[in-house]
Amino acid sequence: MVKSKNDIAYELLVLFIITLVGLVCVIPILFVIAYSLTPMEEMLRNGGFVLIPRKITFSAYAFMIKNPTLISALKVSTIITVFGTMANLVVTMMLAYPLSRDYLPGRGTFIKLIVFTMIFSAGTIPTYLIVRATGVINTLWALILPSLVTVYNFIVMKAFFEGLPNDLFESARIDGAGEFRILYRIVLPLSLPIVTTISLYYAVAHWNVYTAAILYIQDTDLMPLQVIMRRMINAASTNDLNVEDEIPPETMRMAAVCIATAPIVVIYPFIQKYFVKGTLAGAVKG
Amino acid sequence: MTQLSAPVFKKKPLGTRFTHAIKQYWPLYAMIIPGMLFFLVYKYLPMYGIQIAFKNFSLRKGIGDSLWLWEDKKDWFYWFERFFKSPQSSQIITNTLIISLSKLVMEMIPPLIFALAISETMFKRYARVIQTVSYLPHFLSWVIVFGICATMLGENSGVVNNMIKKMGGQAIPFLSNKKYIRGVLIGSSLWKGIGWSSIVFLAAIAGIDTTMYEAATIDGCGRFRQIWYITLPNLARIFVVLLITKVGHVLDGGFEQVYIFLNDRVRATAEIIDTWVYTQGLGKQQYSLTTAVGLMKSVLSCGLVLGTNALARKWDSSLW
Amino acid sequence: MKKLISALLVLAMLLGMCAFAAAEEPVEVRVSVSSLGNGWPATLEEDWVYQKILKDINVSFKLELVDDYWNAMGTRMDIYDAYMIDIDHLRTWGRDGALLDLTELKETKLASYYEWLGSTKLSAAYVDGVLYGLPKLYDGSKSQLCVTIRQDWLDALGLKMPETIQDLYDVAYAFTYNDPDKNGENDTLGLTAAKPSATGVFLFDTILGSFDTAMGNWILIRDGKVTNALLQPGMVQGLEWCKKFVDAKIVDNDSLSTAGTSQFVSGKVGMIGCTWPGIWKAYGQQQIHDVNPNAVTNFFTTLKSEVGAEPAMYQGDLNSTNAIFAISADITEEKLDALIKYIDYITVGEGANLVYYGLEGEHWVYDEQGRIRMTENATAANYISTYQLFSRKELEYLDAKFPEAKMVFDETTAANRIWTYNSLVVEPDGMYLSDMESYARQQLLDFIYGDRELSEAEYANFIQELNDMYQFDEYMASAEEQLRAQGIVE
Repeated sequence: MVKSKNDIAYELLVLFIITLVGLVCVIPILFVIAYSLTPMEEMLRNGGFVLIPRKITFSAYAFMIKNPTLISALKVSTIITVFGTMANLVVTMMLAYPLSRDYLPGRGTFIKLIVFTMIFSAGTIPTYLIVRATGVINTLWALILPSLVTVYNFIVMKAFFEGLPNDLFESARIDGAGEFRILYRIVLPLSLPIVTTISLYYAVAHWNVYTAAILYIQDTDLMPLQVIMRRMINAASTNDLNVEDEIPPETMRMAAVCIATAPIVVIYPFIQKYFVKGTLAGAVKG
Repeated sequence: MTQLSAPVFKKKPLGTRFTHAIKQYWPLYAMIIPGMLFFLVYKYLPMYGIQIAFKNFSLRKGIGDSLWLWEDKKDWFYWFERFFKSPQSSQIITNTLIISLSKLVMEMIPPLIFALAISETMFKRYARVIQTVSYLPHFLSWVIVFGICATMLGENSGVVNNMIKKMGGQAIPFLSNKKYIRGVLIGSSLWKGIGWSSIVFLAAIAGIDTTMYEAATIDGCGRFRQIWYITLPNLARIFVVLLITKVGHVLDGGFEQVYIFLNDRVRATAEIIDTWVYTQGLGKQQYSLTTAVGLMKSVLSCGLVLGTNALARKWDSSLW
Repeated sequence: MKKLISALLVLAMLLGMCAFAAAEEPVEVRVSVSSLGNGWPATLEEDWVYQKILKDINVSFKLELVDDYWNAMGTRMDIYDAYMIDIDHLRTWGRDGALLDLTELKETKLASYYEWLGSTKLSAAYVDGVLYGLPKLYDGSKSQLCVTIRQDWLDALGLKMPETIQDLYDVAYAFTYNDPDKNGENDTLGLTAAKPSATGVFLFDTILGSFDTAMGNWILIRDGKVTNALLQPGMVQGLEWCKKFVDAKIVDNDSLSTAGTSQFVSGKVGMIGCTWPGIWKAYGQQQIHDVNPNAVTNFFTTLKSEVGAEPAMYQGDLNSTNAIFAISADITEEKLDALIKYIDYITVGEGANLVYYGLEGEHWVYDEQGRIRMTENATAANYISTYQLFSRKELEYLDAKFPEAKMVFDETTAANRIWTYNSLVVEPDGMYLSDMESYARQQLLDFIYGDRELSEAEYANFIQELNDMYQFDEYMASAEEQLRAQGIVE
C-alpha cells in the first residue's frame, strides 16, 4: 500500500499525541516508584526528585508487608472485588438490557427513576441507617450491596445496548429463545468491549473502596486494603502530631501506593485486547 | 348541534395497557427487579433523610425526632439562607462553575482525542504500552497527586521552576497564586483522568462496524475524513450520554482534590461549594446545612440534566 | 456457619464461667479515638498495655479508631462509652445532651483525678457552665515552637545568631544570596516554616510575633482589656516587615501550601519555624546528618523589634486542645465505675508509668537518681501514647522520653507567646466565623504579597470590611462579655 504524504503526516500526528500523553503520565509514575525504592536521605539530598534511583532499598516495602493486617486486608479486597464485580455486572446488565429496548412500556419512567438517584443523594447518615436496617453492617455485604449498581455505568451500558438492532433479538425470539438466553447468548458476546470496561470500572471501585468501609465496617480484620494502607501512612498528613509520633517517611507512602495499585494494574493488559478497533467487525449487523 | 363522535385514536385505558404490557414483556420486567429493588432500598428509602434540610438536626434525637426549624423559631429556609447570606457565596458559586465546567471539557475532549489516536496509530504494541501507562495516574489518591505536584511545581525547588530558572526565567508560584491555581486543579485532574476516561471511548470505537471503514477507503476517503464521517458520528451517542451524566455533577467540582490543594493564598479563586460546606460544618456537625446545600445543588443539577437531555433529543441520543 | 460459631461461643463462655466461677467478668469499655499511635498492635493479644490493664484492674479497655469523625462518628455515637473529641464536638454534643455531665462527679468519684490535675485550667471543658470533659492539657503550651537554624551556615558566613527582626532579615538575606553551603550555586533560601494549619500561618507568624501580633483572628488580652491580633498597633508595621522579606525573595512561599520540613532537612533552606519534635528528636537529627554529615542545628525563640512590646514568637492557647475526653450520657453505672477505675489507675503510680513509658525493666528503668530512663527497646512502646487520654506532667514526661532535645523544649516552653483565648469564645449566632477567619488571613496575605496596598488607611478599610461584612465588631464585643463572665478579665 502506497502511503501518501497526508497519511504520513497523519501517522506522525497520532504518534505525537500518544507519546505526549505517555510521557506526561509516565514521569510522575516513575517518580512514585523511584521514591518508594530510594533511601530517604538520598531522596532529600537530591532535592526530593529522583527518576532512576542510584541506591535501592526495599525497607519501606519490608515494613509494610510485615504488618499482619495487610494480608487480611488483601484477602478482603480480593473477595469484594471478585464477587462484588460479578454481582454488579449481572444486576447492571439485567437492568440495562430491558431498559435499552425502546418498545418496552414504562421504560422512560424507570430510567428517570434511576437517573434521579444520581442527582439527588440522601446523605451519609440516612444511608447508613438504611444499610444498618438491612442488617449488613460490619459484614462484607455492606461493601457490595449498597453499591450494587452505579448509575453512570448503567447508563453507559444501556447506551451501548441501544446500538444493538431489535431485529437481532426478534429472530432469536422466533427461534424460541427466552430473554435471559438472549442476554447471555447474544447481547453479552456482542458487547464484550463495554462489558469489559464496565467490569473494570466496577472492579477498580471495589478495589479502591474507602469511605463505605470506614462507615459500614468496624472490625479491623474486615477492613479492605485502602483503609489499612491509609492508616499505616496516615500520620504523614496529620498536622497536629503528638510528640511521640514519627512521621513515616514519604518513601513509605509511595511504597503503599505501589502495593495497593500493582495488583489491579496487572490485570489491565489482559483485558486490553477487547479494546482493539474492529473487535466486533460486522457482528452487529448480524 | 351535532354531537362529535369519540376521538378516533383513543388510547386504551391505563389498566388494560398495563396488564397487556406485563403479559407481553414479563421476562423483561422480571429482569429489572433486582436492580430496581436496589435503587428502592439503598437510594430511595434513605431520601426520607432529606427532611433534615428543614430541621435543626441533632444526632442524639435522630432524623425523625429532631425539631423542625419552625418549631425552633427559625424560618424554614434557614439553612439555605445560611449559605446564600455568606459574603463569600457568590464567589464560591463562580469558582465552582468555572472549575467544574473546565474539568467537564477536560474530561470529555482530551480523552476522546487520545482514544482516537490510540485506535488510529499503526504502532499497536507501542499504543498498548502507552495506554496502560496512561491509566495509572487514576490510581493515585489526591494526596499523592498533590505531593507530586508540589515536587514538580514548587516555587522554590520544583522541577519545572528549576528548569525555568536555569533558562533565566522567573519562578512561577503555581500552587500559591490565585491566578494559577485553577489551571493546576484542571491540569492535574486532566492528567489523572485522561487514560481512564478514554477507556470508554476505546470500547465504543471497538464496537464500530469495520465494514464502514472499508467502504469509505474504497470511496477514497482520507483518514481524517473517516474519523469525521464514521468514527465521530458513531461515538455521538455515548458522548452525549456521558455529557449528560457529567452535567449532573457540575456543581460538585471535585471536593477531595480541591480540599487538598486549598491554601489561604488561593482560597479566593479555588474555594468551591463543597469545601466551603465542609469547613463550615467541621467539628460542628452541621449535617442540616450540608443536606440543605446538597438539596439545592441537586435541584439545580436536575434542571441542567433535563435541559441537556432535551437538547440531546435533537440528536436522537437522549437518556430516556 | 454463624449458628455454629455462636454455639461454640456459648459453649466456650459456659466453660469459662465454670472454670473461673469466682473471677468476675471484666467490664468492657469502648472508647473512640481519632488516631492511633505509631505501631499500634494488630490484635488485642499483642497489645500488652491492654493486657496489663485487664490483669490489674479487670477492665477491658478498648481504644477504637474512627477514621473519619465527621461522617463515621455521626453514625456510631451509640456504640462507644466515651470519646476523644475536639472542642467543637464537645460543644455540639454537650448541648445535644449526648455527653455525661461531670460537674457533680468532679467532687465525688472523679475527685482524686481533679485533685491531681491541680491548677490546670479546665475552662475548655465547660459548655454553658456544665463540665463535660477531661481535657488533655499540658503544663506549658503544647505548641512548643521555635526557629531552628543551620549553625554551620551561620559560621560559614561569619554571622551571629539573630536577636532582632533586622538580624533575622540579614541572616535570611545572607542565607539566600551568599551561598552558605558553598556549593557555588544560588540554590538556597533564608526562611521556611511548617505548613499553615488552624493554628496559624507559621511563615509570617515568625515575623509578626516580634510586633506583638499574629496572622489572623486571635483574641488577646492586653492591659486587662480584650483585643484582637488584627487590632494590634504593631500590625501594619509587622506586615511591612513581612512584605520586605517577601519582596527580597528570601522566604519559602511554598510553605503556604506544603510543609517546609523537607526543604530544611535537605539543606535548601537555612531556617525553619515549626514545633521542635520533627527536627530535634533523634530521628530528625539523624535525617539531617544523613543528608549532610556536617550540618549543625541550633535554635532561637523570640526576636526584638522596634515595637516596644515584650518580644514573643508564635501564638499559643493555654485552653485550646484537640483532645478532650468526654463520656457518653448513656453509659451504665457499671461501665462508668470501670472507666473511673481506669482514670485513677493511669493517673499515678504503676499505671501512669505503664501508659507513659511502658513496662518497667523492658522499656524503661530507674537510673541512679531514681529518674525514669528509657531503654533501647523504648520504640516498642511508641504506640502507647494513645492510652494517655488525660493530662500529663509534660516536662517530666519529655525529659524521660526525649533527653536529646531537653534544651529545646525547656527553652521553647519558657519562651514568651502571644497567648490567645479563642477557644473560650463562642461566636454570636448567625455569624460566619470560619469565613471571617479565612477572609482575614487571605487579606493579610494580600497585603504582604502586594495584591493590596499596604498603608494605615487601607488597613483601616480592611478592618471596616470585617465589621461590615462579617460582624467582627459584634464578635469582639461578645468575646469581651464572655471572657468577663468567665472571670478571665475584669
